[in-house]
Amino acid sequence: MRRKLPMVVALAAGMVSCGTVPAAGPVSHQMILEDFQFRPQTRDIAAGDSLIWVNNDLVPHAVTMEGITSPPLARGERWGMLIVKGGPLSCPYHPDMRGFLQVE
Amino acid sequence: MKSKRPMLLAALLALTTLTATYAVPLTPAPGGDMEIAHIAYTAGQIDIRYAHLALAISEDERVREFAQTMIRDHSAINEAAIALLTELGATPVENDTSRQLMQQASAKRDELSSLRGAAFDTAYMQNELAYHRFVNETVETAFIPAVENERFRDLLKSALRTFKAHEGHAARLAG
Repeated sequence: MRRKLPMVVALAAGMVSCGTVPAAGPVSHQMILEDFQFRPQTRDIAAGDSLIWVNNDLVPHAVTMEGITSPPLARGERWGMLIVKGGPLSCPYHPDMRGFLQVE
Repeated sequence: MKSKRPMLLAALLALTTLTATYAVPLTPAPGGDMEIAHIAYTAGQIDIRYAHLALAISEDERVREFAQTMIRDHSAINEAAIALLTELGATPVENDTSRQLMQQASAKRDELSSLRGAAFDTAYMQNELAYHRFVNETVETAFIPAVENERFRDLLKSALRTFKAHEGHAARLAG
């Protein structure tokens, strides 16, 4: 299995919240693309946290959320983004692969 | 394993009856895993070639995106298969079944090549749906139960998950 490649962190340009910063600071969460699903299904995620997506499937996926689409992620590759508001998740290559990210 | 051979042949007979478009002749599988590996690899290459044809002819964005996914996914699966077989020091064995698949696919490409526009898009997507149903049935009922090497069997299970996603995608577009 390929190990992680240099991580690309994408900012939701012009949309980063300047509101109240949680006392504990932003958290980085690892999320998995596996079995054509976005996992875990539920997670305590707050605006300002970051997500690190890793693809565990045999075929490439990409992640679309908050109007941003990741580059193609081969098996073992990772991609990170800053969370603002969450919402629907999808893979542009596999239309039946959908999820939802609930943000506190 | 000899005890799995009758099940493999019975499954292929059922497939021959149910999927006339992709009739696969019954042949003995003395090579076992390596003959199955060659058939599976060939099936992936066939779909990649169908996809390249679609990219050359179709102007429908959804059909083109589907074709690009077929190229991307089947290439990844076949690369993983090659990597595994290389690690195992094994070589796929060409056989009558894989040759027959290639011949049938060549005839289908000739048929599709004569079409344009919506006629091509419809024919291509319907062929993709039928082909993936055939492949999925074969992999699930014949290959996975018959394969002896555990890692190869796990690879086929992962591949099957992808092929089922393709079948669902094709069903959306086939109409």
